[in-house]
Amino acid sequence: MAEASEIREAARGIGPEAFQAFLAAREEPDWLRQARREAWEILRETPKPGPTDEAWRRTDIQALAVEELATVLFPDGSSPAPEMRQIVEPSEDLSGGLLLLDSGVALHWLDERLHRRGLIFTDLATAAREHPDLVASHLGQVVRPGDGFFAAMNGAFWRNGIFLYVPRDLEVPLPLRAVIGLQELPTDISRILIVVEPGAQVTFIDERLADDAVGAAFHNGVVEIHLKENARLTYIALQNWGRYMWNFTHERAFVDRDSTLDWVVVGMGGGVTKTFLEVALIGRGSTAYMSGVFFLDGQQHADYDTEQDHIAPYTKSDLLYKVALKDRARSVWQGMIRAHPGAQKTDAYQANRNLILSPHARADSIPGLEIMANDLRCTHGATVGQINEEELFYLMSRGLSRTVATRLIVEGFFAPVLDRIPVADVRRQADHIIHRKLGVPPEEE
Amino acid sequence: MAAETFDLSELGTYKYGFAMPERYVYKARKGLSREIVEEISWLKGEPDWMREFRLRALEIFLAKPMPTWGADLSGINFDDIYYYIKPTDKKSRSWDEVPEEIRRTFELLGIPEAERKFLAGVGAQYESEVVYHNLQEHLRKLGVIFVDTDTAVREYPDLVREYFGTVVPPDDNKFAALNSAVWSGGSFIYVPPGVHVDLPLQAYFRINAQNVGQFERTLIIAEEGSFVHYVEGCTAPIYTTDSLHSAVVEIIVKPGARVRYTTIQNWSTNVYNLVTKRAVVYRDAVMEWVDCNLGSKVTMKYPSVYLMEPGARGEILSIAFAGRGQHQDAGGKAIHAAPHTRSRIISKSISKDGGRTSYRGLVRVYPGAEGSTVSVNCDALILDEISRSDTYPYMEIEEDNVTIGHEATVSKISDEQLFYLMSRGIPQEEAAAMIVTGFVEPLVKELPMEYAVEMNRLIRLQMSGSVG
Repeated sequence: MAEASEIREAARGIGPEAFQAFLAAREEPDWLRQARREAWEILRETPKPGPTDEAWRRTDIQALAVEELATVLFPDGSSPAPEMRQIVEPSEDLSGGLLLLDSGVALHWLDERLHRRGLIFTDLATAAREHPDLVASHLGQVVRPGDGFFAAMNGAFWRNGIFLYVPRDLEVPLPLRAVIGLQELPTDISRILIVVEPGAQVTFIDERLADDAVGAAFHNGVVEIHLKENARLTYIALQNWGRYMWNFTHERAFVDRDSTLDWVVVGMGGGVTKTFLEVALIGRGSTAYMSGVFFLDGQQHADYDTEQDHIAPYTKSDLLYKVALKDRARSVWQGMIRAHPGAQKTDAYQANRNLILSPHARADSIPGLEIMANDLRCTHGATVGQINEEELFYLMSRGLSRTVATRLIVEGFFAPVLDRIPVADVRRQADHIIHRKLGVPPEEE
Repeated sequence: MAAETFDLSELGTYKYGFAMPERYVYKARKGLSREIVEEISWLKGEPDWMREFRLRALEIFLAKPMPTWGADLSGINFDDIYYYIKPTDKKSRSWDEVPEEIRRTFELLGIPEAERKFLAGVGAQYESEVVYHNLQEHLRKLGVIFVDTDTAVREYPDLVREYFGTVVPPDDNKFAALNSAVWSGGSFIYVPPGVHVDLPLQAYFRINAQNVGQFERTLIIAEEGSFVHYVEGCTAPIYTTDSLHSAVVEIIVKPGARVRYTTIQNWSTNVYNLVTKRAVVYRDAVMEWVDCNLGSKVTMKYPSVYLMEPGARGEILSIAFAGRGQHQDAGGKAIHAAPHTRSRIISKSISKDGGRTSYRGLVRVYPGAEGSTVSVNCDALILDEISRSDTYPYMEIEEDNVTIGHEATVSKISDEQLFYLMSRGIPQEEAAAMIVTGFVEPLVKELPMEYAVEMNRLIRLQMSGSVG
């Protein structure tokens, strides 16, 4: 944790004083202040979720003292650790990089050619000043303050975030990569807004990073995606928070006509995680792939709430979430496929596979279908099991140790999802975390 | 587009919709109060412990909120229901002794004929009381008990007291509490160790009056190594006001025993059907639920198996058919509380004419229930674009050495299958009925033959007025 001298703290919590102090400290255009006020009014009316709220029954956040959260902070500007810089530094594998550290921009670059073609890739506070029309017309449209307590809190108190705008028909050749990191501050309230105009294509890597040394911390994130006609977005999210992080996010994409969203979530970090990941297929012929790998150990608790909302006809969604659990970790996956009236020819699938590696781990798997159209095919599947002893025996009979055999099987279990990540560096990083959790010594990697 | 492909006509007229004039020896006031509960208990001449059990349950019922999940229950007005109606003074052993109107009802339903043909025993409940009861002599000699539950309280007090309310306690849920407070009738079955009851025992439940609640209470005890198959059927006339059916079924399956419980539920479409059915299953014992839900306005029913000892096995087969204005919220629960226990849930549902089917299930594996296996399969067919189907399976797994699988699909009748049948000269409507019959066939074949025939007939009737 940082020295007190480095951070000015104006107020705590989410009450009226904190909100006034927050507004007063920020020079923001009127439309944004108005949006924050509206969100805050909703927040005031929304109680902190408790165990009687259906979506929160399995994730207990009684111990999170919302009124104690450091919401209004002014960092002096942290200088990033070299490992963090390295991820987003200019390289020939990326089109741009952005490191948002303790809510401030610590590193930022973008391929000049893309800039000239009208691509915007910057932090959200800057974008709100420099591109007010674009931000104002898209912000808060996909994830609204009314979506829940943490969505409302984010709408009122977001400190910074990332804005990605890909203009019409632009195909971005290499991925853009952003890191939202915590180093000195105990809280991050940030927001990602992505707008992909018709015919454009882009790959975006979103990494959340803090190491265990940050200690007890809080993250409230919102991701809003507008994917317009015939566009394509590959969105890779790597959640690598420290072990003592309270991690809450609301993430949703509007997928319009004939466009494709490929959304891969890698969730390895965090202490208590509750996230809402939703795609709304609003245009005919749109497609969404949702893939996830989650590996939890120790006392980690992660609760993923997904929704595949088929609103237009001839839409397709396919979800595959794979979870491995060690020690006393607990995972919850609640998935819903909804086919609205008129969403004919929907083709929807969801599958959740859980691998339990120790007797005290627990997996709750709750797929769901709500189907109000009839000319469609919606299916789901879920399995929970342990490592197959026969597979282990087979590998060990070939001279491998039990640890190595287990590692190979876990890698094989995750491979179908990790293979969907088109960026080698992210795959390597995920592998590295998996190895660490399995206790593979660095020299064997 | 689907609406053009197959034009299934209106839901068939409800076959059991006739009503007899109301002639009752006793009809309690509408509404629920301490006085009503005490009156029911007094009329039945119950022992103190049962009266106290009822009164305690009433407190729980009044204190518990309505469930916030599941089907819409806002249409239930607890103050507008008769909680107790006594249709006749005496219970009969012979159909000839049953009062004329009631006998005609059961004759129209085909019960006496069925009894002669293929049942080992039968009970018939009309409103709140069982009016007819019979059991084959050779089973009586073996020590099998098959009586209505009120009689059991009088004649087998020790047995009843030992088990009553132990599987489904009154505080389990609001409707279990309601049933515990005002229960009347239902079946009590006791099968001694090693006895196999080779033919099914059946009970038939009939609601006749308007605004009546039927709250039968069934308790089945299968001693070690025994076997029994119990079948229940339910109907009610169609009124413009709603009725409430809220039963509790408790089953104890002792080591090595096997119980099969089959329900053909065909209430008219103004009945709220809110039932708690649960079995505790001990070492190497088997519990099988076969649960067919066609009628009712709203059904909320999740037969469950609590697998308490190693080797226990539970199977839940569920069929739901929802037509216009109906919501069938059905499913099953399998609770694994011991190692090497197995469960299987298979659910098939069909929705049509704006009906809604929901599968709601729970699989729970407690720590230590190692080596357990569970498989859940749900398939739903939606026959037109105004109908709806939902699936909410919950899996809570706290043990690593287990094998759990769940698969579900929702789809429509395949155009190819329909085309194939029609190209063989089968009219569209009949082809659709054939496909639906084929869809539920894996479950229907689990029914005793007579019921399978009946079930197929009911499905065809639901599919169309003109088919079959």
